[in-house]
Amino acid sequence: MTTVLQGIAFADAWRVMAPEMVLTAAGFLLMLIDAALPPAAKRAGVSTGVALIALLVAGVLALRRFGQTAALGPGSYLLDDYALVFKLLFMGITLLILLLSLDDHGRAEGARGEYTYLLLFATVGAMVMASSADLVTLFVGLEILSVSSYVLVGLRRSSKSAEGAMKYLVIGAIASACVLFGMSYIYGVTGTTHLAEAGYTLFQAWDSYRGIVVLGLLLMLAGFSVKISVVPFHMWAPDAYEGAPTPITAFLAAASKAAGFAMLVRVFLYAFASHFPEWGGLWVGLAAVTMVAGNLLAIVQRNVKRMLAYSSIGQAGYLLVPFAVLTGAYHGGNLYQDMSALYFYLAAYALMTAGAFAVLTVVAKHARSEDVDAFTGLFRRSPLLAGAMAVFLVAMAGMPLTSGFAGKFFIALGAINTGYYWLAGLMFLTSVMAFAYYFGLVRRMYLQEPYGPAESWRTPAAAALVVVVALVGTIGLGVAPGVMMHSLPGLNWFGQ
Amino acid sequence: MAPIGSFLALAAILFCIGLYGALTKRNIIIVLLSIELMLNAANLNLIAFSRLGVSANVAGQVFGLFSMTVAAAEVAVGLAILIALYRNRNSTDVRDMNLMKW
Amino acid sequence: MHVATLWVVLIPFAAGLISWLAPRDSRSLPRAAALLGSLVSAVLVGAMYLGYDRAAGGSQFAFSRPWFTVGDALADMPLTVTFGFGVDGLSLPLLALTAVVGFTAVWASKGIRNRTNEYYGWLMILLAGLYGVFASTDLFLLFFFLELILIPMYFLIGIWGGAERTKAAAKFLIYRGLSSIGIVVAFFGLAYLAGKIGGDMTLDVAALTRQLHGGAAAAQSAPVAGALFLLLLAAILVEEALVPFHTWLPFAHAQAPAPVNMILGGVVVKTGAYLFLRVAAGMMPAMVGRYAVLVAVIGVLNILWAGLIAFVQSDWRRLLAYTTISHMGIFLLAAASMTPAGLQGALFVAVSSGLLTALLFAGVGLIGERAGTVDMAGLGGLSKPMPYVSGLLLAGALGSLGLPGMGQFVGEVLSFSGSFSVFPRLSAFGIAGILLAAVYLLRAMQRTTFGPTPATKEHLRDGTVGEVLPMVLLLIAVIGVGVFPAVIGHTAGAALAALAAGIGG
Repeated sequence: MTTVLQGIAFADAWRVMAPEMVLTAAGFLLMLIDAALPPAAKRAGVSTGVALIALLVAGVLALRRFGQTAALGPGSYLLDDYALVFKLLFMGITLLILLLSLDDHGRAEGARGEYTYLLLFATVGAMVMASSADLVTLFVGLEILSVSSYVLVGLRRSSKSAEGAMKYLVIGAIASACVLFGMSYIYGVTGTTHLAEAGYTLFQAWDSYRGIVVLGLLLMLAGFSVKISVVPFHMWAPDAYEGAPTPITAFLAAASKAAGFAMLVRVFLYAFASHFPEWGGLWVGLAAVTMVAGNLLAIVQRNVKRMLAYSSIGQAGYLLVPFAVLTGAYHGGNLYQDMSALYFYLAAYALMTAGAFAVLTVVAKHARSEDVDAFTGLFRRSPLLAGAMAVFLVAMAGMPLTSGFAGKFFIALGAINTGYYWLAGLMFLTSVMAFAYYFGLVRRMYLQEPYGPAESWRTPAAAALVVVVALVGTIGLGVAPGVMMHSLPGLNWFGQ
Repeated sequence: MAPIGSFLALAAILFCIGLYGALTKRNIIIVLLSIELMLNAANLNLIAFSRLGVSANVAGQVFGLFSMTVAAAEVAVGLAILIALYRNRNSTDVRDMNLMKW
Repeated sequence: MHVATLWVVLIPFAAGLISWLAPRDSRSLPRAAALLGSLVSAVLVGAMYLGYDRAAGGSQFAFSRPWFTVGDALADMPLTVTFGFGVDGLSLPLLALTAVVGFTAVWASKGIRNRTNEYYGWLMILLAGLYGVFASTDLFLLFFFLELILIPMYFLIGIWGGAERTKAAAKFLIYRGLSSIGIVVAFFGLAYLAGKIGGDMTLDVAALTRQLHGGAAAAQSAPVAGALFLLLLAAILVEEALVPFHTWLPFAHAQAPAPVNMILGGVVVKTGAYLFLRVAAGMMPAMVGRYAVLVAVIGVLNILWAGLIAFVQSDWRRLLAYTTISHMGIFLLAAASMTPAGLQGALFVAVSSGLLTALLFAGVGLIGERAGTVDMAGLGGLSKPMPYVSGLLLAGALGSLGLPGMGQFVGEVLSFSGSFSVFPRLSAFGIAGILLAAVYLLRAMQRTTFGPTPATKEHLRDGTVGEVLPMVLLLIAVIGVGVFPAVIGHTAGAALAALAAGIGG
């Protein structure tokens, strides 16, 4: 496996990883701008503008690659539709987050250059994770995302922010170490860091090195579980979410989690597919525990950010279902169906999360509080915000007419199809449990009058744009899920 | 040459010590050191496999180089956050990080 | 392709949106939009009722478009969900019920004074959802609308209700939310069952009914089908607010404003009855046959239990809630017999009980507005100051206890003639329950309208023409059904006969 060290022509690299290259270049450019420009100019939102342009360019480049397959090295870094759909998702989320970070006058909040370029680097890390089919690149991508996120969480000048960042860093680093340690075992047994080759070797080596392979697998499973905040590896999430600047919280909940799933599916499908029955059940169990615990813990929260954090843990449980039930998918068709269901829900969930956090950002700014009380009587202060928030909450609860319902429907179909009736039932049961806190907030917004005078709250244009985009997406995907669901299963997922 | 088993055992022991330290120690600096220990245990594994594994090759050492770089970045960020925290609270004790619970 | 059915759902929805866009707390525009929307959709339903080809039967005025397809839902089988609307003998009577109750409830909403634009908006969305439930020809769509109802109901109870409105709204939401799990699992289960035995996976109502009927006797007796049926039955018990899952209904009724009560007791509760006829009896007749005794016992239990509890109620709204529950008990007893007469009776009971419940709630709402209370302890002798309202209320009560000439009488006669042939002893208990209803309703009437008029109540104003109009309309409807039972019997006859044939073979 010396190929990693071989030279790679720029043209090949450009073909496979053009979007990543554009974003990385933009990130470095921003670093230079940040150092060179006087503070007054920095406040003018130049950096956000550059970042937005870079994202758009990268997005167009990614769109043009659909249907193609290529690889760098002997398949260490892949260009396939699986990677592309995830990359588009990450870039879309980052775009929304950047918009959300602008304040009333189009300036970046806090106006710190590092905010923007760290966000870009984090996006690049996530994109690397989606494309990697090699343990080394995978680990590097994971760390680019993680390290950038640690800093982003700690950017607010508050004690809570630093505390959240510290907790995130410690738990995240432990998880990384677990992943790395597990990877080292897999490398040791197979003699390769390349996932597909490792999978081929493991097919035979599984029984001869059973103990060490299972140990490696479990360590990686634990590490990944931390990254996607699956119960019982979720403890960092509420603290990091609460401490982080709100747009970053949205980024963690949407993009970071999606990247975790992209990596998880790639690794387990490529490397461990031959022995599905041995570990499939573990994920089923984790999915079940996660949706119950996440939704239960969300009920008792009073800080809206923490509530959304626990709710996002519960959502991670739903997202695990299509992956977990792959155990029963004996032929390709089902695999693509389940992948489509997973991706559909990820996209739907990213939109509602971005929207909900956008509303929270505006409300928290006006009320100077993230407590549920800040939402009391919101319909009097801002009908747009209250209505949009209600739609996002109802979508998270999985009510019809929203993307949340369609997404859960596809996931449940996959579960039923593979015989996991109870898992499908549990999904709907926990959704009803979740009514308790989602509708608790809806009740505050609509059924109670605001405390104090009901002055109306203005929504900054950029935040309003994010809310409207998320609203259109959430309702659009709920009314016409076919738009996405019909094209996804036909994608050239893994370049076969 | 020592058999690979002893290297693996050493790495496993180091990893466990690191994990124990990271989860139980109260001083953040010790916690960061423990994490470093875990990462280095993994590196030891990689190097051992790369020399003495079933199909020994250089990829493990390359992997090790990458992970050392990454570990350095991680700890640097950890220390930076620790400084920010220390400015706020004058303490490096985990028990003082209690603004948020549940 | 007929778009008429589609419009029935879309028009109230559009009216709701218009009402929402009106300035906050403005009264005339939202009310006009809602009245117009409900009237136009009611006229459309009426036109379809008259235009329905009874000789041909089946689903007519159908509008169907593929909505989305799930590629490999079961092994290699795709599942196509259609955006399908249509009417048939079963759905038409319930659509007509929705039309009448919906329009009268909008009319009766004049007393709502705060946040009116939102109120009419939610009310019209609720109507659209109810029309959607009865007009869907795809189970996915049906479930979709069933869930959609929860949201407007939640707000209607929670914002414009009484002192404990938030709790009542939450309780409504939790109960119906839980029941929707049972419904959705049963629906998907049926689709899979059809896919496994019929080779074609579908959620289309007609196709499912055909597949589960044809050559599927073996599969129908499968334990899976039994579990699905029991699950669905439990969900239907919640939807119809039957003992032991009934507690949400009296609570919600006691808190909700009168027009919302009209729709809640008149139509929302009847969705459970529709589900029973459409899905349980239509697609799993063998299972209804197997569990017939269980269903009938639950029915009789409800008639008796609701009758006894109603005795001790002094709040009119709670009393009416139990009346509805007892009507639904009759429905279940009659439907369990699966005889043509029993099924006809069941449908009759569902429709006439809906009309009567709405009528009674309209009257009680008016009394509450004038007298400030609907507790019998604080009322009495109202026939003197409010003769018209008292008279209409009396007519409703008499109809409700089965006075000949009104719809309920026809329904009960048919119901019991059907159920006696199958469960003679149980039906005898059921009749006893009907007698209970006569006693408690007359007693309530007597305490409210007769006797000496308290000094505080002497100067109450009677209902104006505009205020009693909804009650008059509902009374005409229920008498119409009673005098010309063929209006329903003829329309639904073929569909019900097909249901009964499902078990008789």
